[in-house]
Amino acid sequence: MNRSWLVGFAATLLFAAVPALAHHSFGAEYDGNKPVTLTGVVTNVQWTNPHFYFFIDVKDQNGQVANWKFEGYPPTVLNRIGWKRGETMKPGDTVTVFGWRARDGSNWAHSREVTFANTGKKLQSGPPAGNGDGGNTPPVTAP
Amino acid sequence: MKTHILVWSAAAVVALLTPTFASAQTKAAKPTPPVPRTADGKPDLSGVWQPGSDRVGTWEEANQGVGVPEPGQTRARRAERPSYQSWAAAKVLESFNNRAFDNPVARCIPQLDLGGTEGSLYPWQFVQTPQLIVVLIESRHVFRLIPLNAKHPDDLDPSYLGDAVGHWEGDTLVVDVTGFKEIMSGLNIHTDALHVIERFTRVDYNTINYEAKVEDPKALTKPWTVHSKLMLRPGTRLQEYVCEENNQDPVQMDRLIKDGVVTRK
Repeated sequence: MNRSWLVGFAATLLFAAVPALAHHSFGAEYDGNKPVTLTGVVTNVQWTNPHFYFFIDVKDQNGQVANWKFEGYPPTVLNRIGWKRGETMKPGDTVTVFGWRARDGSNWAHSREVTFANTGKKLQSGPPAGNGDGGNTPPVTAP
Repeated sequence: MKTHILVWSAAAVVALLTPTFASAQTKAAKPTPPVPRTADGKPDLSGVWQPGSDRVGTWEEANQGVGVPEPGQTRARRAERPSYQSWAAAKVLESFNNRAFDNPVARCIPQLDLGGTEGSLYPWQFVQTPQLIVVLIESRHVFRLIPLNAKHPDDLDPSYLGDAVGHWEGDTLVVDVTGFKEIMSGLNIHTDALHVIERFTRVDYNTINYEAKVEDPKALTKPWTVHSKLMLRPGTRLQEYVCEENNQDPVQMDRLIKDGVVTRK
């Protein structure tokens, strides 16, 4: 038992995670320590590569409306996880989006999951925080 | 009492045997065909494959419940950590401290994907002839040409995906890749001495075992290896992915770097 644990541990060390390729680094634009959940009305959807973008109007407690921009997976990935262009998300739809805010603090975020008010359906919309930015541990030992 | 023991024993035997029967019946209902072969007797790699996965089935079946395997978290892909020479380690650390904003893929530059580096999000399609194997890669809409039993050209122009030549060693397709463009930004740097040897073995109908050995004597202290799997995805079609269409990231990243909000403190 101890031996197999040791072997497993050694394998983990040997095959430590190496930086994953992604379209771009999450951390270069977004802050994984700043999760955000917003509900609003879709104003625009850009079904484009290398990312899709959508915009929602979010009303605050005083009735002030702010337009937020969200980034997500490219259409090729969305098509395989249950999305349909022009059907799943349309201007006028009310959605709740979970994601992480951009580093500049503006009304801009990376989306992870969208819940649609009319159906209650929840769909993944983007990769997890930290994707492609090297995480918290340097991938090399300081020379 | 004896009757009770008998009933419970019978129930236990049935419970123990049921999954076996069920599993045997499922297998009987869906026999897995043998590895297909081409007219010249080689394993036929033709088809659409998902790199970095180990689940059998269509794309929907294999990725159900877990969603598409997450970037960087694919269970089927195991890579050693590259051991860089000190100057190269310093370059990688510099990029890490700027949260890899300078990763060339953010500018739509393709890199050779060693067995599902992009977290299994994008399929590959193999097209096989006796003289040439073509790999179509959805991500960034690129292709790889692998002539068989050929030599690398003498007048090689360095390229992002390198120049590949292949040959069969028994049932394994061995691909030698060289002639890479130097990449000195991001977390995956390499010099023009990069040399990759890939091995594709279709071990059963649904699975190609993938191995690669990565050498770069100008930047690494020793070679490193990666092991992964490609899983057959019947019914999956490759789609167009033109990265330049609406790539807003470089402009956004450059602005954030100038604002000083990206660099690790």
